[in-house]
Amino acid sequence: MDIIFTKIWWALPVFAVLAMMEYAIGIEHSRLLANNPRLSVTLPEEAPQWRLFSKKRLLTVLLACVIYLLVYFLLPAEFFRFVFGGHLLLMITECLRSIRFLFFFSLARAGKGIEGNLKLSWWYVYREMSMEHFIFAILYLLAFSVSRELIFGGAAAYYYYRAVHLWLTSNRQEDKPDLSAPTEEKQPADV
Amino acid sequence: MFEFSFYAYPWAVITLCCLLYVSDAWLTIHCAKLLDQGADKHYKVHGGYELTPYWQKEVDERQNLLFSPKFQVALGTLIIYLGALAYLKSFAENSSAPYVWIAAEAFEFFSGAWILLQVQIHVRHLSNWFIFNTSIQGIGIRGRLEQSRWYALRLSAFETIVFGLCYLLFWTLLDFRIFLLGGALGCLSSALGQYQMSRKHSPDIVEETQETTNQETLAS
Repeated sequence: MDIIFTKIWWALPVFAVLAMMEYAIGIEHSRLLANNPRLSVTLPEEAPQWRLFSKKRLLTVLLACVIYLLVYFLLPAEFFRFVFGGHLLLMITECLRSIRFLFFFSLARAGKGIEGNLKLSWWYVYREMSMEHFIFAILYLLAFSVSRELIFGGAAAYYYYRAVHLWLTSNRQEDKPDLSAPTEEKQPADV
Repeated sequence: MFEFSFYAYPWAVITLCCLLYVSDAWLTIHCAKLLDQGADKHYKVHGGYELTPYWQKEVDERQNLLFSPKFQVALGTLIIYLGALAYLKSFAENSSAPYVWIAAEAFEFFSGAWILLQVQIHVRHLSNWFIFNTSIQGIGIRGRLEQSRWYALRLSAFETIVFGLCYLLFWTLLDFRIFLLGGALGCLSSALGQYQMSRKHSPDIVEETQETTNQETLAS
């Protein structure tokens, strides 16, 4: 593990590739869903037309690399291990987890084992993602408390941040249901 | 740098393993009941909720697993098994005989396999718990998805492989701890088992008969 933290010129390309890979998997998800004749998981709005090598995405990754480079040279090694290692671990985990959706949607597209039509509101999608991120934040926190390895602590912090961000995003959605209403009225406004 | 301090207390590890097993059994029944309470309006898994043939009958009948003799026996076996490994570990640590390190590492390997597999199972249970709860209340979701048993087993195997690969990665990156290797191999062998089971089913969505279920239980 230490090679990642001692050889920064190796670590940064790994980080950049993972960041692009996470994005590429997201694009593939939306492509598989958009052209799926047998499974319809409809979101209330059209998925944005993402492009892998968009200027915005490349600049974001580049900016993150510069920030981590500054952290590496200016701040203590433990701090770098915490923030960079944590972020790297989060991306590895997310890439591996996201691949299951490729499997899920590809099988559906091939008409194997799953069919139906499901309509999800954005509120639901963000809430589910937030909940999964909370679970992984707790898992990495447990791993950190047992092992005292800083990269687990960093990954827990990133997952927690993302979970809170997703939760707040879900609350801002226009299709957010009225949770105080009786059960039979708890329908999103526009699914 | 990378240390598991709790391995100084083997009984704490055994207690953790048992708690995870109890929690797994409780969550399985709880999530299966959520399906009956209305979640199956949106999600339908043909062939029953439980994937492990050993527990399928009990879960299909919604029995309380925690008080069933079968579960008590399984839990007792787990305690005896891990207790024996913990004893071997303490014995091996005070011995200078060759190959005795295998006995010393076996406890960490098998408890790692159990704990880390249970972590993966709990992530799935908690995810199902959220999905089924929101489905019952009809919040933000409409329509219905149906999965064949083949698909459920394949998906579960795939998710388990992903966790196994994560553990394998941690093992290579973090001082080659035998605990993580145990988790990785535990997940990969469980995934292989589920993949093998899926081969007995057709990918098509058909209502599974009791006969099919019984055949699978016998086969296991």
